[in-house]
Amino acid sequence: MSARWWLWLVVVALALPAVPAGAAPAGTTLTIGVDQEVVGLDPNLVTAFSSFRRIDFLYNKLVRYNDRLEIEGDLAESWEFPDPRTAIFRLRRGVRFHSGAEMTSEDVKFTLERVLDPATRSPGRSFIDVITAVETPDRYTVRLRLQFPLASLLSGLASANLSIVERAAVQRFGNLQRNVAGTGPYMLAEWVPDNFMRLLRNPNYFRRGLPRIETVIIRVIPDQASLLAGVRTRALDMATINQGAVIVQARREPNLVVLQKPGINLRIFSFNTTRRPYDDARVRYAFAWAIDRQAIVNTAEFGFAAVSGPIPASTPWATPVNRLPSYAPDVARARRLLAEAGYPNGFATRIVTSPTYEGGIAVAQVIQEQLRAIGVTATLDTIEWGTYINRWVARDFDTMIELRGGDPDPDRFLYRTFHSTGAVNNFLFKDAPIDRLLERGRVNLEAAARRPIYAELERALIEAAPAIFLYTPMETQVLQGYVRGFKIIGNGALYFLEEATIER
Amino acid sequence: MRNRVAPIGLAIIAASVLVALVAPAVVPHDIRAMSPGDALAPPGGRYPFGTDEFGRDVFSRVVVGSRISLVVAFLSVAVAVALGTTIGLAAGYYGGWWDAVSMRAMDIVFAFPAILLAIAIMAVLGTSLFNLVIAIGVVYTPQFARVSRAAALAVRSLEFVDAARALGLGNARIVWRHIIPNVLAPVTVQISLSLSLAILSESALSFLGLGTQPPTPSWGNMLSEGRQFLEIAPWNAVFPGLAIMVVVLGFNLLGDGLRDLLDPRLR
Repeated sequence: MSARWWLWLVVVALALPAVPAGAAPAGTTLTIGVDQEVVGLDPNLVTAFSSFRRIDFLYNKLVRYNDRLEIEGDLAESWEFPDPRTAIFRLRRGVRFHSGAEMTSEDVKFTLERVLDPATRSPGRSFIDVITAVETPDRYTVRLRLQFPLASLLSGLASANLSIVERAAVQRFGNLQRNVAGTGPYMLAEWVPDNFMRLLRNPNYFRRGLPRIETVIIRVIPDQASLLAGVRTRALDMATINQGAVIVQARREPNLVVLQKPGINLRIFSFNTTRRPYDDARVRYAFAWAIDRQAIVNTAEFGFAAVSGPIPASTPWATPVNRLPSYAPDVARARRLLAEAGYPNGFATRIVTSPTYEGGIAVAQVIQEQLRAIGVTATLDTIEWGTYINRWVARDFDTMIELRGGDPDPDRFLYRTFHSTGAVNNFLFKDAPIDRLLERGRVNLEAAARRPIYAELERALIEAAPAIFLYTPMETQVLQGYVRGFKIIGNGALYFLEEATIER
Repeated sequence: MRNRVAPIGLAIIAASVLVALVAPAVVPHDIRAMSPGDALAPPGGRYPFGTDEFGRDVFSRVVVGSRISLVVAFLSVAVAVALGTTIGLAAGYYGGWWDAVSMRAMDIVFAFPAILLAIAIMAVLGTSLFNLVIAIGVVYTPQFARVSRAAALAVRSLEFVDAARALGLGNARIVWRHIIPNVLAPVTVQISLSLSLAILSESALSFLGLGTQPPTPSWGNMLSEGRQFLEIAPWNAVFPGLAIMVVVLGFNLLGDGLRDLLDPRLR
C-alpha cells in the first residue's frame, strides 16, 4: 500500500503521549484489550467467555489445563483415585487468598458444595453433579465420593466455574459478582465498568516468583478493528482478536506477533428438533450434506478455523473429518433425503443470528446461500445480542447459529449438550441410543475403552443431526514483540500471562 | 440561467432511477452467488468494483442495491406525504382544537431524534421492508404536516378563498381547488429534501442491522459489512458509500433548485 504515510502520522501522534517520561520502571505494566465487558466476576456463577478471561487472573482451580491441554496441578499438588468412586486431592500448603487468609480444604469443600447446591444455579453444577459427598480429613486433603466413576471429573474441576473461592468472603458478600476472593496471581485494584479493570500483582502468590508483571490493565474496546489500532499505536500491549479480517491485518504488521492455536469451541448450526420440519432427522441430515463447511471457514473465518465433527478437531479424541459422513458435500444426496422426508421442492425456514459477538452472521449468510441449492429458502432473523440470548434460552428458534464452548474431554461437552437431560440441550433432542453412548463414554476411566465409544457417538450425532457441526475457530492473541513468555492455550485461557515478562 | 444545479440533480436522480429499473437485467453477476475462491478480490477484471468477503460482485450489489434504497425512499416519503399533508391541511384549514391537538402530536414525534424513533418503531414492528417504509414514513410525517399547515394557514384567509366560500363552494372543493395548489410548491421542495434524508435513514437502519436483511443488498448494509474490511478491502465500503453520497447529493441539488424556483421571495 502506497498511501501509508498518513497512517504512520496517526500512529506517531497517538503514540507520543504514551511515551513514558522516565518515571515508571519499564516492563511492569501490561495493557490488554478485549471487546466485551463482563457482567460479573463470581467464578461459580458466570457463563460468558469474557468473564472467564478475567477469572483466569484472579482465581485458581484444583487442577488446570496446560498449553498442550493436559491436566496439571493448580491448587492441588497431587491426586489419586483409590477406587473408581473416590478421588483424593492433596492441596498445596501455605496458599493464601487475596485477603491474607489461608486456603484450606474447608474452602474447597465450601466451593464444591456451593456449586452443587441447585439454589446457586451454577453452570458448573452439571460438570460435577456426580459428587455425592465432599470430605475433609484434614486441612490439606479433600476426598470426593462419587455416585459413579466419571472420566471427565478432572476436566470439570479444571473449568473456571470450579474456581476455589474463599468461604468467609462469600458469607460476607453474598456473591462475588463485584468482589474478588481468590488465590490468583493478580488482585483486583480498580474497576471502571465498560472502561477498564486494573489488576495488581499478588505478592503472596503460591507459584514463587510469579507473576512477573506488576500491573495488568484490561481495557474494554468494543470493536475489533479498534483493538488492532490500539496494539499498533502501542496503547495496548496485547489484544484478543477473533475476527478473521482483523487477523489478516494484524499478520501484515511486521512488529506484531500473532499467536494462534486451534481452539476447542465449536461453531454449530442448531435445530429445534421439536419444530416441523426439523422433527424429522432426514431433513436435518439433508442439511448436513448440503452445507460446504470448508467454504464457511474460508469466507466467514478467513480460513482461521478447522472443520470439525462433534468433538473439537483440535483434541485427540476427534475422528479425522475425512472419515466422517457428510463432510464432503453432496447436494444430490441432500435432495434425495429431503424428498424422502416429503420435501422434494424444499421449504422456507428462518435462521436466528446476531451481528455481534458470537452471533455468526457471516456463517448464516453462507448457509443461507448454500441451502438454495436444495430448494430451501432461509430468511435471517438478525437480532441484537440480548434478544439472541433470550431466544436461545427460550428455545425460540427453528434454526440458529451458535458458538458452543467446547472442552478437551469429550464427555463434558457432549453430555451436557446432547443427552436428553443435558443442561444445554437447546435442541430439545431426545435419542435413546445416543443417551446410552453418552452414559457409557463417561463411566469408563480408561482412554482405550472410551475411544471406540466416542468414535461411534460422533457418527451417530452427525447422522441424527440435532445440530450440524461446522468448525472450531482458532484462538488468536495479538501481542507486541516485547511481551515474552506467554503461552496460548486452545481453551483461550489467559492464566499463562503469569509467566509473561516485558522485555523492551 | 438562475438554476444551474437543479438540472444536475435531476439528471443524477433520473440516472439512478433508470439504473434501479434495469438493474437485474444488466448486472454482470448473480448478487447472491458466492465464490469463496474470489473473496475480497480488488476492483478490476471480472469485478469492476471488486468482491466482498463471500466473493460476491460488489458492482452488481451496488447496482441492485439502488432498488432497495430508492424504493424505500420513495415509498416512505409517499407515506410521509400522505399522512403529513392530510394532517397539516386539516390543521391549517380548519384550525381550532384539531389544529392544536394534531400539531402537538406532531411536536411529540418531532421531538425524537429521527434515527432513534425509527429504531424504536423497527424494534416494535420487526424487521421487514414494509415495516422499514412505515418507520421512515412516520419519522418524516411531521415535516410535511408543518409545511402544509403553514401554507394552508397563509392561503385560507385570502380573498379568493373568501370569494369561493361566498359563491357557496363546500370545504372539500375549496381545499381541492384552492388550497392544495398553493400547498404543492413547498411540499414539492420538502419531498425532494426528504427523499435524501430517507435514503440516509434506510442506510443508517440497515447499517445497524435493522433495515434490509441479507442477502438482499442495500447500500446501508453493504457499508456496514464493508466497514469490517475497510483496511484490507476498502472497495467494499467505498462504493456503496459513494452511491449514497451521489444520490443524496442529487436530491439535495434538486431540492435547492426547486426551492429557488418556487419561492416567490427569491424570484
